[in-house]
Amino acid sequence: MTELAHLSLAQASALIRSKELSPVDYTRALLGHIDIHDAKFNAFLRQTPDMALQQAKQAETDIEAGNWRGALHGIPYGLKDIIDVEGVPTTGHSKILADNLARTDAFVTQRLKAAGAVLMGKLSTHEFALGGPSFDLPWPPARNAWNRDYFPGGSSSGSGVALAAGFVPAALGTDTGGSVRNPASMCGIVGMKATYGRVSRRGVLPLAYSLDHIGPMTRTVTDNAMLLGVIAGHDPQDPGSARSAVPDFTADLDKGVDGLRIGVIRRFYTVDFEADAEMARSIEDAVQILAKQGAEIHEIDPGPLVDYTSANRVILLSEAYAIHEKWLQERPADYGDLTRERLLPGAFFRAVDYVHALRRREVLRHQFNACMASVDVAITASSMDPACPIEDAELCEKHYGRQARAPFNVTGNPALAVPTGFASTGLPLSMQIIGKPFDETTVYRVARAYERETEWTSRHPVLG
Amino acid sequence: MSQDRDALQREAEQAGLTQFSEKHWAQFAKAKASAEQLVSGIPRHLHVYEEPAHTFRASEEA
Repeated sequence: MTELAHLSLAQASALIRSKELSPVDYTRALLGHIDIHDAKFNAFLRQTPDMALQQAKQAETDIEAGNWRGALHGIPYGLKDIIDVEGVPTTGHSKILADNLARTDAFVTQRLKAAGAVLMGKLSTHEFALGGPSFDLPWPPARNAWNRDYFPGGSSSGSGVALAAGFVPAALGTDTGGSVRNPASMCGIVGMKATYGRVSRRGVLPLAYSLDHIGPMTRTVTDNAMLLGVIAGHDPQDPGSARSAVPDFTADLDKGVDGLRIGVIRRFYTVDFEADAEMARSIEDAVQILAKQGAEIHEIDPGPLVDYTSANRVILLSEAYAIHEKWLQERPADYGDLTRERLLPGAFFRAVDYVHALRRREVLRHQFNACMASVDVAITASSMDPACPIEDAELCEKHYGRQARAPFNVTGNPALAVPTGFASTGLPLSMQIIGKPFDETTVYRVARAYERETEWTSRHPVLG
Repeated sequence: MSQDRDALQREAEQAGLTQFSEKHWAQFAKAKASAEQLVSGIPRHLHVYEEPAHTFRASEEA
């Protein structure tokens, strides 16, 4: 069983295509693995085993008949429970939407269904992708697979946990201020926030329209590039959807980094914040590994982190308040404490505050991309600290703000969180690789070059 | 009820937030301070020609 649970998407896909692995057997094995272990980790908010087995049987029939559809055919996956699946509730992990049956599929769900993938269920999130970890919601929070007493990051908590625990080889999360990259960092997996507009937001509960991204989460870099390739693309029904052509994100994975220019944004984790020593050391070690492979290393300075995070918070909370205003007026007690506390500042912003934040955003976008002009990618910290104890609310709140992910929601650049080792506590460490707009391919190329020289993504937690 | 609480309650009523329990009032007060701090981080001195991100478009480009 352990072998199947830890297969990468690429490995499973190759075995399924060659008919050495039955999608039905694979799905049954993972459902059994979930049954044994998920009560300890709460990754799933709702499993869909009947749908999974039906889709797996269909995949098996199609493949046996010679109709292999591509890399995701017969591959089990999970969706953060703010992504719609027709006929399945989308709850946002909230009492407010506990009975909210989705009437249609989200764009990304349509893409995954068309690819022949197998939905295993809906995954835990922070309430409405904002308030967590919380213990006062209808479902418990997900717990870190490396140590269940620790926070798995959020808000795409269940996605990160399900991958680390071997419940699925692929999952989707969403990222408005870092919510794909935070659980990726805390769970020792790979999480991509692609360029704004690269992946359609249609059919996904919004947190903040102009900052929301849907992102692939996987255990390896190659898997992530494969999954993004399936969900990326123009959607005329998403007003933010980009028309840029979708490349083969796996095309450059093995080209190495010789001659590439990498800008290190050290100020984010040494000046604006002082990162945990083991976290900072792991990032510097990663930079050295890439330098030894021929990358040119430069230090770049896009300005203070707080400039970006302030714009992110004012825009995010203004847009979120517009979405939640009616429920806050009519059902304030139905929110978890933390969600309500995080949403309420939006009640005090004036229109002029929001417009100034949007003007600032455009200045910052130009400022950041001017800084990126001299390099191919940038590297910086994702989280400043490894995971904290999940029941230490004060420390979790402190760590919540100690991150360098929000700048790339503000600028829209692609940003990938990748594992960089383990702290002395056994909990994962990570970094971010940031690319130029619509150049996810180079981000994956650098990440894969680093991954090839390390073995972090091949380590898995012992679930007990 | 203190003057601060009266003022806060007026702000809540203007925002249509009339269903608050005692716990919610404490959060609302904290939210006001948080909002003021967040807004102070946004500069007001940009040149008038600096437009907001995602400016309105009349239609899809051809």
